Amino acid sequence: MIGRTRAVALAGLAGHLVDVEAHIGSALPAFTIVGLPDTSLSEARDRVRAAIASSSLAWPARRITVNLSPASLPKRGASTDLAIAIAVLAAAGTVDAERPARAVHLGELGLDGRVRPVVGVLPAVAAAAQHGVGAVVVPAGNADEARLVPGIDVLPVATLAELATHFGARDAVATTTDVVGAPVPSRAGPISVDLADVRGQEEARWALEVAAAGGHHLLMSGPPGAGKTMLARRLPTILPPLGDDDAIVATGVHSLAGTFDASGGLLRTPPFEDPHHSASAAAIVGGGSGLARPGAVSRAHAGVLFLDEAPEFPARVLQTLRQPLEHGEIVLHRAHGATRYPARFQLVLAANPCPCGNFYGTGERCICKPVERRRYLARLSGPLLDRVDLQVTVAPVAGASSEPGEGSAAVAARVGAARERTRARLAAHGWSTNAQVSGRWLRRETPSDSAVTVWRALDRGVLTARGADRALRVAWTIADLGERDVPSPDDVAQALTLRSRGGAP
Amino acid sequence: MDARQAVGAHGERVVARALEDQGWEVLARNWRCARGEVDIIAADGDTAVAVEVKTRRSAACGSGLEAITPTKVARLRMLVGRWLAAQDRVFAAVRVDAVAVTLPSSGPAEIDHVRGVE
Repeated sequence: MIGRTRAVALAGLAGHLVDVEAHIGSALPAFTIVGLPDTSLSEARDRVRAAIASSSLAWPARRITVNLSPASLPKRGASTDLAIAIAVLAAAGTVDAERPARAVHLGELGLDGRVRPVVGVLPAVAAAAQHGVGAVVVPAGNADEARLVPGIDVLPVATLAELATHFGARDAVATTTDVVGAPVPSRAGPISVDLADVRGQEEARWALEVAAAGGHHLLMSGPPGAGKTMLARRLPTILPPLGDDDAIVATGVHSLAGTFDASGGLLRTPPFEDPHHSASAAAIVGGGSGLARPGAVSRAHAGVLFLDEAPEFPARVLQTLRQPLEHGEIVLHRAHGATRYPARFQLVLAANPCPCGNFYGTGERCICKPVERRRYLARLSGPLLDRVDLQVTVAPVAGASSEPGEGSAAVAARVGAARERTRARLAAHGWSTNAQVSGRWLRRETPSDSAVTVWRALDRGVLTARGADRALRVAWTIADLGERDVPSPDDVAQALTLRSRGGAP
Repeated sequence: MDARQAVGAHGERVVARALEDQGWEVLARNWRCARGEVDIIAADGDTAVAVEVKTRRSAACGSGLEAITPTKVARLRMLVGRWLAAQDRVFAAVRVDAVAVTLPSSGPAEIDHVRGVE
């Protein structure tokens, strides 16, 4: 009297196979679930029971014990409902015991017996495929998402009755056959915008192009209305589309966060996340009780994390960005264990030059005290700005320049070509963008006649050693964009201008 | 006796007959004392068994077994102890069983027997 099925427990993006066993014992009717379930999983008891009754199937009037093994692994969420229901039916002999035992089942049950979509289907199915599972049962609403994973049979089901019949139950009747669709996230994506919308701003556009080509982090400072936000929103449109590996990981994160629309296939456009400056540290890096959920840094994985009004973010929140900037991932420790999420994003910061925003040009309209101005940008400085290769000033547009700028497609083509050159050069070192290159490599490979301006600035003390590395890194990206094999003295000079925020080195 | 009690009494008769068919010896029906009543007390070999019978006319509201609460089981244990004390026969063991009877409008009664409820 034991029924077995399988499910997947997600810890971050990593999925673990869970054996779901149901035992029907000769004792008074009772239903217990053991094996570290969280609250929503424990509530599966009531959902499963109602769903089986609604499917016109008999509920065994005996003591039913469901065990989720390995017992030490915490499990959460309603996505094991379906596996529990099938295990119980298999234990009762209502369905065949052999076939469901081999398949992984994902899905939440409604009281009416419908199978409702769940989050995290893509990483769960990918984990099942990795563990050599041949077939996975998913909610009909998640079928598109599950089919993105190669090498595993996907069986979408709309109701428990449908699945029970498939596994050999007689007399299973669905009360309703309406399919519960996956909730389609309504997000204003950056797809509809184009760099052609930006008038003028030649320098800032150039900085954006260099940032895209080299994967460099970017700080834009300038008065309100200069177009910083407008420029940043258009960065994803000139970035190359995500490769297969990045696409699967990024899609997995968004599947888990519930912000993924599977109808368009894998996520290929670099994601763009722009948390508001009132966001908490947990919202940025990920959080939640028990095991943490992905935050903005992970949703921006392989894409752009844009912090508008960056100095307005609490210092504590900005500090949390240091680990992901350094390691490309974030590890969140909670009571029930550590969760690891990918978080390799391109950081774009926008800042006003001062609290009132008018300190540009001669600065005569600014009403801030000098000490306030200093303190304002100092909130960003230190370890965070150390990692921002490009730091440019965006001046307000002078006059009514009505000439439309170059479109995203043309810029993206140049960016793509430059990235290709970079990849070819750095492949042997395991790097893919200039932003990842080490200082040692830069100092060794940059021609000395080109780098001489940097060394001179270093000697004069207007550039720090780390600042020198950043300038050289950007110089290589400029050379790639100009289709030169190594940076020319001009490229290095340009790189120096692209990191002179208000003249500060 | 109202209709409800009649259904219950019929269910108990059905169960008593079924137990005897299995070779059990029914020792008491509706044995009562000051603390309560046991539907059937029977000897299954050398084990004394207190049997609680729940009768339903359909399965629409679930099995009758679900109506047997832990409190009820505890009371049955106490009652079977009192019954043992009130008679002379010696048993090797004592057990409490629960039996659900479903009486459909046509066809034979369905009996669901759970041995040794906790």
